[in-house]
Parts: sequence; structure tokens; C-alpha cells
Amino acid sequence: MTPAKESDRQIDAQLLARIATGDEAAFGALYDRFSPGLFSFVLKMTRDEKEAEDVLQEGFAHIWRRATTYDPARSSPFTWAVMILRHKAIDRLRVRQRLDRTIEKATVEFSHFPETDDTSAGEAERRDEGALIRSALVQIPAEQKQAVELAFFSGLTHEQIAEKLGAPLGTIKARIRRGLLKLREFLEEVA
Amino acid sequence: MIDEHRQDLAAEYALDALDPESARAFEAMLANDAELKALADDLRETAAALALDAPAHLPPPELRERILSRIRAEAEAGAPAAPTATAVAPSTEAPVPSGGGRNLLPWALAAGFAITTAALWMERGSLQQDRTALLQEARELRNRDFLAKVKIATLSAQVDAYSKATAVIVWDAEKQHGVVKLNNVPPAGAGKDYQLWVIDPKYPAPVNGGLVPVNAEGIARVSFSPDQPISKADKFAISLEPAGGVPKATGPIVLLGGN
Repeated sequence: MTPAKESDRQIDAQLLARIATGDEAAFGALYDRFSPGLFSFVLKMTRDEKEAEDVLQEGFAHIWRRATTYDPARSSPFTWAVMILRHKAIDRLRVRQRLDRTIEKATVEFSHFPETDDTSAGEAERRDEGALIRSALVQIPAEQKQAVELAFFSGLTHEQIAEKLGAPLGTIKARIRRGLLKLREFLEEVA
Repeated sequence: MIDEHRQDLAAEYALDALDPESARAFEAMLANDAELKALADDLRETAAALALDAPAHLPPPELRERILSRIRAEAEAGAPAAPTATAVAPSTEAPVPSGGGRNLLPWALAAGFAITTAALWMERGSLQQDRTALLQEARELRNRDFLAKVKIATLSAQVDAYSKATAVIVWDAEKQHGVVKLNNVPPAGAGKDYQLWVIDPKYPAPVNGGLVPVNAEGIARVSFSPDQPISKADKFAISLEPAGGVPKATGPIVLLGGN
């Protein structure tokens, strides 16, 4: 199940197929479709615009080089791109965490940046999907939401999350599992 | 029906939270279990959808062209282009102040004395391990793209009372921001505070980096931004100053280093 519409998924997959052949125009088109959402995402993770720009640049360079490895049977193009950029952002967060544990506080609080208008092609629909995921998140228990968000955005391992929240590791794993399963159910219902 | 243990694994796999060995074992399970694979794929899509929960922000318009230029360069070279970040090599040069205030003399002496002190320090077995671990960490950090443009300095004790202290400073010249980490530092004492200084040859006197509060365990972890723009952070020093700090260094230097 994915919130990405099938038509979007097909367009994105076609662009990735062209990128795999070295088509720069397709790369530019995919950048235009994905970059607003991905930049917002890595900015939420890093809380630093310069770092978010660096992650976006590294991530898209990776997409350019590794487009041939994209497997449409495994995930949508957007999910594939999200996971690439998430890895790169987590690399930076983990280095930072070793230098300054205060970053962990920041990742719990998350940012409250002012919203900006976003009218990029393909991105408006993704904004609607953002509203969907936000409405889904408010419907799961707070402790599950907290565990899922920490697991996804903070770069903390499950063990670190357990330590941070003062809960047994098994409890944290269960919260993450239940939270993800409930999110999946909600997204399937509204699809 | 997928049991909870395998659901847990699927959730961890979706979040890339499994270690490499566990991930390989789980992928072997997926190869023979279509239902489990469908769950793992669904959970990955669900997790990725969380990215859409971020407040909307547009990347700067010029970033598009930077990225396109990079991939063009990679395509022309037939290989990945060099990282855009420029490494700032740790300086091994002594500070060369451009002016000659007499209050700089103790700092210059201290810089020379650091060599002797460092040699003595290196002889201490357990402390050697600390230093080795710190340097190893520093090397690892330097290898990371994220830190390619930052300077990592280890500071050496300048007086015996600080011989057990370890100190590392990470300095990002581009952001004019750094982090200082101290361990095993004695209490500053009544009416005293530790203060950080950045020695930049552009200035005749060390630039104030702010106070470094040390807790009861002798540990400090402080972010800092110097009072003045730093062109070249040759060395960093920590001195003992009157409580609240001073605009110009007056107290004894207790820790000093630049690479």
C-alpha cells in the first residue's frame, strides 16, 4: 500500500527508466517532482538548511548513478528516493549525535517551520498525501506515533529509542510495529 | 497469518533497522514467503509516507543547477565527481599573530611548551588509550563526507593538574560554529570559569569563544560561535578566567592544541 497514486508511480518509474539510460531531461523532471517533498523531509531530519541541501545533492547524485538498480516490484520510485535520502541524512545525524547529544533533544521536538506555498508539478498531489499521513498519525496512540517518528526521522537505533524513552526494547519494537500497521490500515482505507 | 515476531522483523526491515546479518537472514525468509514480503513492502511504503509529514519547504532554486552540473560532470568523467565539500586540512603551524600585544607572550610560550607537555602526556598509559580513542574517532569523522570541511583539534594539557584531561574541538569554518568536548577536567574553582579562545593570525589577540561550563563529573560539551569572524583557526585554547569570562584572555592556559 502506498499513498502515491498509481498514475504518479508510473510516471516516476518511466522517468527513472530514462534516467538509467543517462537521460538528463528525465532527471530534471524527476527532480522537479520529488525535490520539494524530499527537501522538506531532510530538512525535518537535519534541522539545518545547508545540510539539507547537501543531503539533497548527494541523494540525487545517488539516484542518477543508481537508477538502474531501482526495482519497481519492491517499492514505488518515491519510496525508493525517500529511503536513499533518509540513509544519507541518518549518516549525518549519527555523526552529529556522537559529537553532541543535544541533537537528540532536537529530533524529539521536531521543527515547526512556517509552511510555504508549493505549486511544483506533481508535488501538489503529494501535499494532499501529506495531509493524509498527518490525519493518520493523529489517529494512532501517542506513544506509537512517538516511537514511529523517532525510528523514522531521528536516526536513532531501536535500542537508543528504548533508552531515550525509558522503555524496554521489546516494548519499543511493539509500538513501532503496531504504529506502522495502523498507519498502513488507515492509508488503505482512504485509498 | 504472520506472527508478531516476523511482523517485528518486517517493521525493522522496512525502517532499515536490522543489522546487515539480520537483514540478509530476513531477506532469505522473504524469498520463500510471499505474504511476509508483501507485508515488508507495504510497511516500507507506509514508513516512506511519513516523509510527507514534514512542513513544506522548497529547496533554493540554484540547487537544481548545482545538482545538474554535478551529474553532467560525473557523466563526462565517467565516474562520480569529487565531493563538493572542500577538506580543511588541520593546521600544524604555530599561530602567527599579526600584531604584538605583550599579553600574547604567554600564549606563544604555551604553544612551544605544548610539544614538551604532549610528549610527557603520551607516556601515560591509560591516558594514551583515551587519546588514541579520541584520535581514532577524529580520523573516522574526517573520513565522513559530512565532516570533510570541518577541523578537528585535540587539545593538550599545559599544566600538570590537567594531565588527565582530554579535549576535542570540532570547528566548522563555513558556519563559524564549533563544538567543544572536555573530559576529566578539574573544577574551575570559586570565582573562576573556563573560557575558550580561538587563535586566528588575522587578529592580534585570541578571539573569545565563550565560557565552557564543566559539570561535577569534569565533563563539558558546549557549542560555540566566536565573537569575531574566524578566517583561520590555527589553534584553540582554554584558559582559567574570572567568573563570567573576560573579553581578552588574562588567565593561565590549561589546554591548547590545533590539530
